[in-house]
Amino acid sequence: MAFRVNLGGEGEEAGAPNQQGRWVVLDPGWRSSRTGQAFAYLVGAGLSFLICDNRQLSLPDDCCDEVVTNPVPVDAITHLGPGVQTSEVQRILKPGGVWVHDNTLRWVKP
Amino acid sequence: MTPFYDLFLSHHDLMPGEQQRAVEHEFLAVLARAPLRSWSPGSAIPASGTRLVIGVATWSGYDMRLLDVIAEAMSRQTSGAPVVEVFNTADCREQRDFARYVPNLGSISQTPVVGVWRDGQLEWSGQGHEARDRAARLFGSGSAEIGEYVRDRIKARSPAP
Repeated sequence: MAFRVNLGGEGEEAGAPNQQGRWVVLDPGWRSSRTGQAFAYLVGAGLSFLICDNRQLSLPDDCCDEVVTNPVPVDAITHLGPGVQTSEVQRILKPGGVWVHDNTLRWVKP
Repeated sequence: MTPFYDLFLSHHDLMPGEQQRAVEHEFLAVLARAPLRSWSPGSAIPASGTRLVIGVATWSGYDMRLLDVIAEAMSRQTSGAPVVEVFNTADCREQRDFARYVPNLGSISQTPVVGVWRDGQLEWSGQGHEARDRAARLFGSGSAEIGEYVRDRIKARSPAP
């Protein structure tokens, strides 16, 4: 079965771990950007989350068949800290794994 | 006309990080051609009428669509239109920087960031889904319509199954 992970950004997805930064848990005012729903609501609705730093994703090398990044800063530092890191996406993808950004295939791991 | 969303979709031949930098680089030029103002701390706040300050992330399709909705509505209005001033949230390197644009926001974790002033007084401020909806409703749209537009554009770009 293909392993797919959604890194940060707008739009949590069912059927894939949704990686987010710590602020999702620490800030009680956090709401999902697309639907305005609270973290606890999304967890209750069955979505799974992976809370970790974008610079050090808690996933092993070569483990993902597909990495999805919806609108999210990439290789940029915002007021929340470093955004999604290309180097981390490339690390966790299996050879032949794909990076889909803003719903477009952007990179295939050799 | 959808200049902001078109900008968001541009440069997709580049890797995502490079693409976002290219989009951000061109954002102010697109903003200058729209009926919206660029705002930075220290600029004057109008003493009368409705003023909307919107902080957007140029990597967010939702934020770029919001600007298209507002720009389109502004271009149709002849008088009594709110003043709309825009800034790039990338200019805020730390949480406290947002207070220089929109006060009373607390911790910022989502975009857009919106403040509404009436007759020189801050009336409302917020962020994320709620702020997008608040701003869009001033111009006859809403967050749901913006989400629907983004989903439709995504579908149009997706390969057939």
